[in-house]
Formats: sequence, C-alpha cells, structure tokens
Amino acid sequence: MLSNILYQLLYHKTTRDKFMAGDNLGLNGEIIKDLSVIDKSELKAMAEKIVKNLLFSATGYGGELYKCFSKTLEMIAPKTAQEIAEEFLESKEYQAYHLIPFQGKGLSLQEAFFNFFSSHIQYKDNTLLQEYLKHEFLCSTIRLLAINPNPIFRFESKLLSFGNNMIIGIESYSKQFIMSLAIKNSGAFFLYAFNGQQIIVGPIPELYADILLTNHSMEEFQRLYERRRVSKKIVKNAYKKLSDLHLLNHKAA
Amino acid sequence: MTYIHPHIHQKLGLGVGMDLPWNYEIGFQTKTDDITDKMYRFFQAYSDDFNYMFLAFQPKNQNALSIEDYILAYDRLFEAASPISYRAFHHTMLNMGTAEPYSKQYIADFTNALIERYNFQWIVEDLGIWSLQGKSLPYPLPPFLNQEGLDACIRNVFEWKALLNAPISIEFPGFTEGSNFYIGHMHAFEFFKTVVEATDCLATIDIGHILSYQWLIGRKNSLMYEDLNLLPLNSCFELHLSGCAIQNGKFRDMHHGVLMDEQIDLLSYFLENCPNLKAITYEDPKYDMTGKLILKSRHNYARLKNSVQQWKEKVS
Repeated sequence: MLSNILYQLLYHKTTRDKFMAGDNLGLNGEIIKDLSVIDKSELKAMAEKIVKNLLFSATGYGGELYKCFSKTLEMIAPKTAQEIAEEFLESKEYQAYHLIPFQGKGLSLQEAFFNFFSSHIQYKDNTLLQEYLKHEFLCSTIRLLAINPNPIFRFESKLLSFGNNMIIGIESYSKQFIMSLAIKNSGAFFLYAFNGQQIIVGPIPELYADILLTNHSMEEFQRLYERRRVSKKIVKNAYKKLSDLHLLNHKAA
Repeated sequence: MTYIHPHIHQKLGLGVGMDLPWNYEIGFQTKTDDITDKMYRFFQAYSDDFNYMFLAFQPKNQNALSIEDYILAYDRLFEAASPISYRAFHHTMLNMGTAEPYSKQYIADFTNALIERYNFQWIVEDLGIWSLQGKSLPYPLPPFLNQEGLDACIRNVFEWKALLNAPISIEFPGFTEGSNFYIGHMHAFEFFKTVVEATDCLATIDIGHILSYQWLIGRKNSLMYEDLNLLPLNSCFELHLSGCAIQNGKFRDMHHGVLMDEQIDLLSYFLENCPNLKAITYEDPKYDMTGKLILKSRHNYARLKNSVQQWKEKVS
C-alpha cells in the first residue's frame, strides 16, 4: 500500500502536485501521519531527478530518451520534453517498463516509450512525427538488442523479426520522411538489421525489401522481376549483396 | 543476540571500498573489460594501506545477469589489487528495505557465483529502497520507518540470508539531504537495531549516514553523539567512511573522498564502543591521474589511517 503511494508520489506528477498542495489523497489517518514527515522539497527534488534521468540518464545503459528519440523530442512543440516525460511516467506504458525484473521481465524503456507516444492523442495522427518515432525506436532497439543478446527485458513489438541469430525489420516511409533524412539515392524502404556481428541500418531498394520479406528462391525472383524489366543479373547481384551481409540467413529460420 | 562473522575473528583494520561504474574515470571500461590506468596507479601507490577491499556492483548492460559478463573485468581488478588479502562485495540489488514482494532467486544465483569465484567474505548493502516496481531510484531511500517497513525489512533480510552463501552485513541507510527523504515515525537507530538483531546479521555503520540522520533531526555539533547507544553496536562488524560535506546548511553524502572532521571524531566513538568491529572502510577515495589521493583528502585520510592502526594494535 505505502509502496504504491510512494511510487505515485515520485512518478506521478498529478498525485505529487495534489500532495504538495495539502490534499490527503483519500488516505486514512495512520498513513497520513507516516507521510507527514516527508520533506516536500526533497520529494520534489527527487521527482525532478527521476525526470532528468529519464531524459538524460547517466547510467550508461543507453536507455535515456534524448539519446534514443532526439528528433522525435525536437518535434513535440508546443509541449516540452519535460512535459512529455512527466506524462510518460504517469502512463500505463511506463508501468510496463522494468529495468530490474523483480516482478518479472518488463519492456525496454525504448519500447515502452514507443508504445506511449505512438498512441498519444496529440501526436498519433502526425505522420511525419510518427515516422521519426518508429525510425528512432527501431534504430535504438537494434543497438540495444545487439549489445544485449540475452536481454533482461522482453520484446513484444512485431516490427522486428528474429531468426538464426539475426534481427531484421523493414519499414516503408513517406517521401517526405526519407527526404528529411537527406539520404541520397534512397528508396522508400528502410532496413534495420543485426546479423550477429554488425548493425546494418539504411534505405534499401524495393527489390532488396522483397527478397528479405518473402521466401521465394532467387530463380523465382528473377522470373518475377523480369516482368518488371529488371534483369536477372540485377536480381543476382542483390542476392549476392544480401548474402555477403549474412542477411539471408534468417530466411532459413 | 549478537552475530559474529563465522570466519573473520581478527581485526582486518583498514579497507577500501569502491563504487565502479562502467566507462567512468574510476571504474571499468566496457571496450577493454579492464579498469583504467588511473586505477592501476592508485593500487600501485596504496595497496599496502589496505587489508581488504570491496567493490560496489554496477550492472554492465541490460543482459540477464551472468558472471560471464563480469569476470574478465573483475579478474583484472583483483589482479591489480592482489596485495589486498580479503574481498567483500557491496551489493546494490538486494533492495532489502522495500515493502514490495519481489523475486530474489535470480539475483541470488548471480551473487553466489561471484562469491564462489572471488571468495567474498561478506555482502553488504544499505538497508534501503533501491527500486520501486522494477524502476531504479536515483538514490536509495530509507525503508518505511513504521511497522510495515520493519516487517518487510526483517522478512527480506531473512530471505537473503537463506539465499546467499556469504554472511550479510546490513548497512545503516543514508538520510542525506539533497538526495532523499523518509516516511514514518520510528527512530531510525532503533529501527535498524531491531532489524539487525531480529535477523541475527552483521551490521555496517556508515558514519556519514549516521551524521546525516543526526543532522536531519537537528543534532549537530556536540549533539551528534546522542542516542548512538540505540545502534546495534555489539553487532557492528564494519564501519564506512566516505567523503561528506555541509553545503548551504545541508548535510551531503558526496562520496568525493574528503572526510569531515566530525566523521573522524565519531570514528573514535565507534572504535571504542563496537566490541566486534573488524573492518573500517575508506569508501570511494578520489585520486589524480598519477593515482595519488587528491590533496584535500590527504589530511583526514592520514588521521583515519592512524586511528585505525592504533585501534588495531590495541589488545581487546
């Protein structure tokens, strides 16, 4: 009971503000008496530290929001990053994040924030912002999973698939998003992959995405793409490049 | 009842405790799985001063805990500090002050593997709330100073005692202004003594933490000695001294290597009044690139060393 109240005082600004203003939070006499010794300035300082750590953590785990979602957080005006962080801390999505699996494995901070922000009432229909969110989520998660092959968190998103010691995700984005990344000669597809040794992130042509997403043989692809006036040699080269990067292994899984 | 360390019967004297995060100047490096050059120089210069050492656990990554991730770096640390005979482990994941139910086996398995490999003689952790609902707090909070908190601490310590293959020494928690607050009305010294005695454990008294509590309840200067007899002095196995300071009228547990005069004064009290005391830890020394202690810390470090030496030489 008291643990839950302490959690809310530290992580939920709404509850904390009420408490700071003298609200008894609907609690009974004994608990109110226990809480009466709280130094409110210290409570506030610790809650601020939690927000600061969430945005710019010094833990070295790579979970801090600014490091993972810098572009997304640049685009949230008129809200500030602090306001978004405070909303996130109060959300059910943050609740699902566990750094320590004392009560079972939770989601990573990256996935919890992605889930929170992708359904945020104020931003969910902002296509460009959502594309940045997804891109930054996938970039940071590929890094996270690459350095933590036996993670302390669970991963629920369907945006990445796993197989044969490989992680792979392919997304298609709007032209506006791709252009905003200032990448030359880019296609509409973006690859996020870890081949067991190397992280590979970047735009790929549709042919490459097709090869990675389907189970056709090279010969079948050569026939399919011939109809689109793409030569067998181009298909063969695409296969070779993907094979050299060990990205075809997951298809066997 | 007084619990005495089952294997350490002699006074160990002065030891060093180090918080070793990853990728900091004083700490481990993930790229090399090694300590820094600066730390090698520190051990070259000071290993002979210390009879034991502990490191405070800092997770390297977000992998499930496995000693394979740590042994290369830990092996190198203990090799660099090889003249130091005894080793202990300052945990940061026991969370003994929490009132939440939580699964302990996973942490216990990891810790026992470390105990076996490095022959840690005891495991110490502040009796605090280190995390809530799986989220790590910026600083550990004292347990709830009420019956709920007391019952939870006793339950947790009993469970950890049964799970770990080395004696636990429970450390009196910090009440440092500027980093935490507390909940409940029990006197913290009595609360701590009750937990230590009910669970039959060793106690670690951090002198800065004691001062922080005294300061918080208005006992400054000569009043800092009041009620110290409420602490579990008979069970006190270890003392910790880390750099503290008064800033803007607030007591801060800085861990910056510079000991206050009050800590040295209070040390004398505990050396006199803890009959089963074996170990006095200088925690988180700070040193320059040559490995030498920073200038500001040298005076009171010398006083600490001298006091401990005199105590060690004194026949009980």
